[in-house]
Amino acid sequence: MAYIRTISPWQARGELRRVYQEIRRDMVGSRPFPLALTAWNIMRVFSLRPTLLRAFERCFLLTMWGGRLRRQAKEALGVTVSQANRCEY
Amino acid sequence: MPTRTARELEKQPTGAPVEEDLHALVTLAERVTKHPAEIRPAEIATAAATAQSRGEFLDAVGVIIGFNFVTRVANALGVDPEIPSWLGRFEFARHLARSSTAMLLRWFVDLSPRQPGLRPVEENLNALGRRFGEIGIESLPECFRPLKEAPHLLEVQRELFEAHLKQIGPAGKIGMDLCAFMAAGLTTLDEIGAPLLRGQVAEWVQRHGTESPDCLLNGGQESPCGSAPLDVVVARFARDVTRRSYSITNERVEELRSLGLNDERILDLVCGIALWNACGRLEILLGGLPCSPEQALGPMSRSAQRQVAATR
Repeated sequence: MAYIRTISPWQARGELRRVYQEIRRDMVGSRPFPLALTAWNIMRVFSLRPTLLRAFERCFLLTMWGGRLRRQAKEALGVTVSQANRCEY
Repeated sequence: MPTRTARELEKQPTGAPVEEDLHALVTLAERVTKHPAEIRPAEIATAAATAQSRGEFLDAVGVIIGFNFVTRVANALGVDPEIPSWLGRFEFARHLARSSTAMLLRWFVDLSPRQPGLRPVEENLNALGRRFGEIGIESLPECFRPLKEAPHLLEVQRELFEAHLKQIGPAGKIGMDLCAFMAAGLTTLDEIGAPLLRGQVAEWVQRHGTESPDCLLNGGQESPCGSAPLDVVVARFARDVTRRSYSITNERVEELRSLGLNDERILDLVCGIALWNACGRLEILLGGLPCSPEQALGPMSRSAQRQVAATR
């Protein structure tokens, strides 16, 4: 459990619910996928600030999907930084 | 990525069996994450030279700073892995859970390259400049200018800063505690050793630090529990999130709470520290990037690079 309060997709209302829905649409398109499965823990930790959550998700898409560097290289760099910061997530 | 390569990278990134260009980037990623202040421009130039193109190098910089942001948020706020930790005790179950998750992602999530809509480069630079102006930093920090060559990364910076320093109400009040943001920034940039950005933040702190009665920099006179002043605790927290975010525990977050920060402000603070960590590394990585004649970064950026080189 995170050190701060988070709001799950089931509890989310208003803007936060809309952001969770946008994330699902960006991940799986229009497939009927449970909201909870695309709201990962790292996203839920931003749930107290829906604006930040929306920015974080868009930045994730732009960084990992945009640009010219191949996907494998991006994943390798991500694993390296995570390992260097001993991030279990 | 093949599972074996991912495992090797997890164990020892610089020893993983990857291509030469990727090896240079992985080495740089590890160095700038662990020892940003020790990085020499020559190391950056070497990694940039082995990349397939300048654009790909900038993409790599984007991933490195992005993960420096998100891993710090995850560590400092104790985000649980998607696979429950108790499953980690059983290697087979853990492997099964990881494989199923990966399969689920491959089936349902479109991982192919996409070009999300971007706003024009100049618009993004101007918006960032305005945002910094609103918080009292008159000139746009130099580290953002080279991102003209990587519009999607410039868009990333704009998104994060706008969300973080979001204006609320007609008076244009900053949504988060600006003093906390800048105080955390000063500590963070001191640790990282990004001289230009640090200079701008230090100047801001000198000008504004003691003006506001409830500013964290005024000595924490209003500390409700009467223990350690809030500014000292915030500075220590920022330092530890920067140096070793994995060491942050729930007790450290409780300490912030006991000094009057609610969960929203703790989230703001952690994101602020993580953002400064990302920007400081951005300055280091782009400051050491050679400037090619056909892709000139502009006279200001070149002078900025000279200043960075001179301070090391």
